[in-house]
Amino acid sequence: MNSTITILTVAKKILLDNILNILSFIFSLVFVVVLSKRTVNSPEIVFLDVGQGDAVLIQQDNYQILIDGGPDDSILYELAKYMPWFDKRIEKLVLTHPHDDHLNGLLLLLKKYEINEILYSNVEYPNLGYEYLVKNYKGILQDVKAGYSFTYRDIFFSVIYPFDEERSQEENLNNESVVTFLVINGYKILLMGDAEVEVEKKLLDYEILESIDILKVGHHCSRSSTSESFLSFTQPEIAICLCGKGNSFGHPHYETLEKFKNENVQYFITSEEGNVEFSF
Amino acid sequence: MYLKLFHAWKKVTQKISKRIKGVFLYIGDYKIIQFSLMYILGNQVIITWMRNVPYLKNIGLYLSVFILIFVLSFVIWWNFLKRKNREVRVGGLGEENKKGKIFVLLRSIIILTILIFVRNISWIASEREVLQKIPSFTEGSTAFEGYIRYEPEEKHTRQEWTIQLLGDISIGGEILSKNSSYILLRVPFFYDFRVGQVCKISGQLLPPENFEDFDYIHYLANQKIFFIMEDPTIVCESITEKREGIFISNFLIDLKDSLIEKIDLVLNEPQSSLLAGIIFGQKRLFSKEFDEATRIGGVSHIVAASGYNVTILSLLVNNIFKFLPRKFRLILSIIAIWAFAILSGLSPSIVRACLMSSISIVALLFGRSNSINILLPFTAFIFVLLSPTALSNVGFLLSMSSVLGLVYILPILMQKSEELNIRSKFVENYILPTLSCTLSTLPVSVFVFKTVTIWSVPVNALILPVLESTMLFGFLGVLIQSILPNLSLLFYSMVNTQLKYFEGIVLLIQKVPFGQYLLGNSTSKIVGFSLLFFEVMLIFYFFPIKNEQYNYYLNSS
Repeated sequence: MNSTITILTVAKKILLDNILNILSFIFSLVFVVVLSKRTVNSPEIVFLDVGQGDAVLIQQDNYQILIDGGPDDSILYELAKYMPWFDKRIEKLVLTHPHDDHLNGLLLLLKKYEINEILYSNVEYPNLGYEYLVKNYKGILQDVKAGYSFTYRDIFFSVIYPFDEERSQEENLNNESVVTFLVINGYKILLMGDAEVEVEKKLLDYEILESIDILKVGHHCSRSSTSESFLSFTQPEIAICLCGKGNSFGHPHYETLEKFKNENVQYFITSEEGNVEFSF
Repeated sequence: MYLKLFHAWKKVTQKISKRIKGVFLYIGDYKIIQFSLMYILGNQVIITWMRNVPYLKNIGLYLSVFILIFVLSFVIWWNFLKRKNREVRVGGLGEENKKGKIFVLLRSIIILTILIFVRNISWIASEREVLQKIPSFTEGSTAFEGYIRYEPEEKHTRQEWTIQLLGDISIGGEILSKNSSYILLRVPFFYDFRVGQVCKISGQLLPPENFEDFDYIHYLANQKIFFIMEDPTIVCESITEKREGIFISNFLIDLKDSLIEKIDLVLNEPQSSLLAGIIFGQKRLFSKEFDEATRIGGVSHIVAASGYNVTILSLLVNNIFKFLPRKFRLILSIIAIWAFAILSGLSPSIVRACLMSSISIVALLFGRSNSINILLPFTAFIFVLLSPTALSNVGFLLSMSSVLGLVYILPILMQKSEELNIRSKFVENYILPTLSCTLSTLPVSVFVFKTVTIWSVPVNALILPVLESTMLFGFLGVLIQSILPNLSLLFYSMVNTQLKYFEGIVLLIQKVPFGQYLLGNSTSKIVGFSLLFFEVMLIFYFFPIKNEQYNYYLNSS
């Protein structure tokens, strides 16, 4: 009898002393057994709030495509909110153009994640980070141009700009941006990078564009992008402005937002809304 | 009413003054404590004087110190002769006893002063020489060869490397000798080089500048850095061909880096940086938001090499080896702590933290005996002897004050909890040590960081209990990651859950709109010193005295 009481007392003591550890162990087991099975089965696209810069995550199952990395380490924290914790592999990274607000975070990702492939447009641009990328990651860099495409389950990914013959003729690096067109479960999404009205005009002239559902607006919703003709032709339902709070450029510009209002386009600004997520 | 208050106040002050006298008598009997404390104080005063007094420039530092030493030695000699004559006349010390004591004290001060001068003269003279030559070194661009001395410090947009020169630099006829200054390089954050790697560097040397209310020039000067270089051109040799620095230290840092890379490949941010900080004492950069949250929650020290993770380690060893006698557990803790120091690459801050924690464990080993009272000031003296500017180092002050808290505040809290009949292991193991460390480091953090947070104790008390197993399972996870990846994932999942809990608590506290107060420059000084004064007085009043020897000093006072 006495020994039973002693055992019970000891058991109670051990239980109380380690209550937090025991709870976390149970949680972890649940995590491993149940939640680790959690993969993003239905495709989703997340416009990440990484401050004044671009970062867009597209994923299905454990397959991720990340377009740009933002200006700093914010991307590491934002990605962690959406990717399964045990998945540290990104299948495709896309660098639209080598400005710091698109490139810097991407360089950090290369140190912390396994990256299968980096899609970029080979341009000449004097930037230490870009030179570092080209020199040190030659093996996984793939130079892409309009016409490049692939499909992963419900995601169709294609590059529609730059055209091969247009390479490195632009003085404005923004207009060398890799522009991508996605179809996810029938929804059409156009991601403009930092491309400005000149690129929009070319895309309209070549009759590449069609009506879309979601537009990642060019150049952080600056007035130098999103012409009226472009907007009325593509007729997006939703427009996304990737901007940082209190940025020194004044993005998003008032004129651009006015155009959205005039065309009845619903718009989201990441500096106000945070991350903007769509599941399909 | 007022009379009653007056009597109560009188009683308190009498008790405190009696104890202060007792402490002085105690210190008077232990020459080693006297010597250590006097050296630490004297060192601070003398180096401040030597570094800042401008008129020394005219006659030269070496000459002026030589004259001072000569004068001081003469004073001793003269006093000695005078005293000897008197002794011959009076026929012994007798009534001159008091004067004799003063003479001994004066003699000790003079000898100490000479010692401090001798210890510091050469580096301060070298510092002055470099400072005088700064304008000529910073005029044009320069090129030199050097190696990366310490692990790079990460910043949000760049990283900073400390470069040890491999040869003297000559600019415009002036020579900057290779041992007189390190160079701080500011390079893009994505550069990836190793400690000990030899590089050819070219660019313009610049003098550091103070910013806002932070004395950056002195901060860097205390680390022997007088020049910075922004975005220099760097060409480094491969470490397999040429590597400088201490072989064993380079090897340990490489080992640590390879293990941290493994963590990075499994955990996300901030969990991976938290784990790297907890297991290896690695200082990593958090996002601005999370960094702010850890500061408000008062848990920044958990991931910095402040000695806190060393405390977690000793708690862990204690819990794992519960079945062993207490003495063995404490000895095992010391072994584990030094194994941790080795795994962390034996960086100066980790070694300091480990030494401090070992001292507090030794204190626990010997209970409330004299040894800790001697060991603490003596260790501080050794630190100051090795690094004369140690008292300006925040990490040193935090480590030292937290050990002081464990030695002098914890017994008070333990006694109070016994009086209040609180018999919970959780309170005894986590709340009270956390509270004592928080209280003892409070004046330093108010003074240095200019913030007061009320969340430190509850947040630490909530987090500390899970961190023991985080350390254990994190370490096991890293060790078996290459051999048994699936099992390691199980360990990591536990670690991930616990660190999510850590993150959740810290971010939750950040959202509370009160409890953290920013102080102005002068207010922080006043509040910091007042807190220190009150804490010392409270320790004098409440410290439980069970040692008979202490009672002897109290009764003699």
